[in-house]
Amino acid sequence: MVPLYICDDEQAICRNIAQIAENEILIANYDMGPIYTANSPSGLLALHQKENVPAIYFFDVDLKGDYDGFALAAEIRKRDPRGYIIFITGHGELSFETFRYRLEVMDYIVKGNQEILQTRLRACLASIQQRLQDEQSDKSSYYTIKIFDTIRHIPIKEMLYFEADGKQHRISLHTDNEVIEFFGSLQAVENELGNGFFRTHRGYLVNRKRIVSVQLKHNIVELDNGETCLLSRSARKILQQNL
Amino acid sequence: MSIQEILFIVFNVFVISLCWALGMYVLATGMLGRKHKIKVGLIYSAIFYPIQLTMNFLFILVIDYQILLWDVCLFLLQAMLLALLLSHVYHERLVKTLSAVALSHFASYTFYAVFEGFVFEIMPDIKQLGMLKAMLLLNIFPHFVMLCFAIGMAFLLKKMNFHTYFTYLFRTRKRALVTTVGCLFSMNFYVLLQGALPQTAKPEEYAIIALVVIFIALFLLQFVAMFVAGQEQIRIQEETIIQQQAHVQLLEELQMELRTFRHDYQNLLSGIALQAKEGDLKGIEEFLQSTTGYFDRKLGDEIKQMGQLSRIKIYPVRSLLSIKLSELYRRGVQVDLEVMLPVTRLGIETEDFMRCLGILVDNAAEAVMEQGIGTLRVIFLQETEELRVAVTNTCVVKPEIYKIKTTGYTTKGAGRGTGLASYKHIVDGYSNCVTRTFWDNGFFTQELRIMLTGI
Repeated sequence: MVPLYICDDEQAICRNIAQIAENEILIANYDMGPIYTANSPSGLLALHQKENVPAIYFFDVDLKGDYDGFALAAEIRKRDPRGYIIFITGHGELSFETFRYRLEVMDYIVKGNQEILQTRLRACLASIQQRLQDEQSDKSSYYTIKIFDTIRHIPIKEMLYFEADGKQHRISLHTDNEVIEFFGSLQAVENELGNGFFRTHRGYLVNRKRIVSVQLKHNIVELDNGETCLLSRSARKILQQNL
Repeated sequence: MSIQEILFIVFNVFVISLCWALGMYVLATGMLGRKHKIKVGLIYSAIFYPIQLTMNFLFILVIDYQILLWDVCLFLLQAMLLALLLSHVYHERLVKTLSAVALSHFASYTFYAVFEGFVFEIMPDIKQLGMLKAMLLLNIFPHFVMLCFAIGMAFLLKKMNFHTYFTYLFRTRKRALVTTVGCLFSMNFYVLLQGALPQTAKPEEYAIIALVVIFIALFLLQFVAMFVAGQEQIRIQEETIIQQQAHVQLLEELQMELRTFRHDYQNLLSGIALQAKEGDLKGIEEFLQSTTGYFDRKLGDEIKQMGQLSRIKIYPVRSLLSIKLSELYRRGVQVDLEVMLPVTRLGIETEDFMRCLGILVDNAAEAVMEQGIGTLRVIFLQETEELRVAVTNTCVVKPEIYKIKTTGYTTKGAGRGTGLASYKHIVDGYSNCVTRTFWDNGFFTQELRIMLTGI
């Protein structure tokens, strides 16, 4: 079951959102609930329980001082990195892009029109349901990296390779859609990831599943997106022994 | 040699090594503009001591001692070790630390030689005082004074922001090479002098000259610093004017828009007045709903933008953004700037930050202009511990992200991506910065995160 959290400073709106969500869950038979409601960010944080499944959050905080809602969402992100956060607000001109970028807020519904609220809410729940199903079916595992004080879970199947940048223990992780830098040692990453990854070079740790060819002549390995990584002499030896 | 004598030497070398190692370490960190850590200084002393001790015994035992060659090698070894240690601890380039160390050696030696000469001058018959007193006066005292001077000078250099000028000497490869060679030469100056003119050269005399040169250099540096500060002030004032011009221009454009808006609005109002007369409530409701959006769109953008800009409290950054935004606005590129919380700290050198920001915005803007359609988005977010900057542009086709880092590749076609290479170079120099590049659903984003605490 995926819990829902609703936060609003007005009791009536809180109930309204809860009602819409409840009806929708009943009608579409989603595996969601129970629904928790709170009237303040602190109240919601007190209610919030750490769970293994990502939860759904509807925040309708009076964001006059942007920061209340932001701080709440930031705290939730810390506790539940993969949760689904949706903002419902009366203010149209808020820093939505900042919210989306920093907190990966899923949607931002401007309230006022009951009908629009209902449709958007419904669409959000449907999209969450879809994502949950996708996640369940692929059962992929995640690798966790720490960037400063934030944590990212990255699906292993999307990872291509890690590259050590020489100085300062700077590592960049190349995935399908991203290049992420963080600090750490390649050796530690290699130990954590185990067999699925192969150290082709002092500076490269490559996802085995993504390798399409090994070009012994040029001392490189080619990945399925066209990228190449260096292959050292010792790694080459190990490869040849295994073949 | 008796045991007493050996113990004597061991102790003597211990004090001297400590003074030398700490003096050079403190002075070199002062030149690099870094905080000194007692632990690192002591580590270096621990490395320095056995080397010096071995050399001293070799000096006594080996008869045909080639002072020139030996000293040059010894100095180089000591300097190299400290340079390696510094570049490891402070993440600086080796050429830079090596040059700083060599210069520190030169300055320290100068101090030492001057005071040794001074002691000789006032007590010419010092050798007859007995080994202990002679050692105290000829070795330990000048070395101790040297250490004090080194600490004082390091303090001065840090105050004068010497490291900015010093860094300037390493901007290009050629300059770095010249500086390093020059510094290494100065380190071996006295040794080479003795090698070249064995009879006439008196190190103390040259040391006095060198000391004078060092002080003159310090004065000059102070002068240059004041001059540069003055120039900087002028530059800032000029920038203020440019920024205010851009600001005024934006305001004028805003006013123009208001005028057209007023015109539109009057027309619309006369329409609604008619509807009201006819009692068409539903029509009025529809009208109100559509006009609120219209009002927002028409006026919201720029007013919002101004408000966002004013939250950037770092003056040069605001100026840069203001200029870039008005330029892009004129070119018809839609730019969204979001600064939700005040930006008060950058965490890295302002100039480096500006270069990074400039590169990111320029690249995104070019990409948007190339596509002819799309938006550009700049987000600043300063939280308690870090500053995030994200520059996003519309990019329908997923770019080959991995190629972006390599020089010359951009999403905008060949040959114009050199900016990103220097961006990467700047960021690599900071241990409190990380970047992220990602493509998500038609948007391409470059993110820069800067840690603000713990530096």
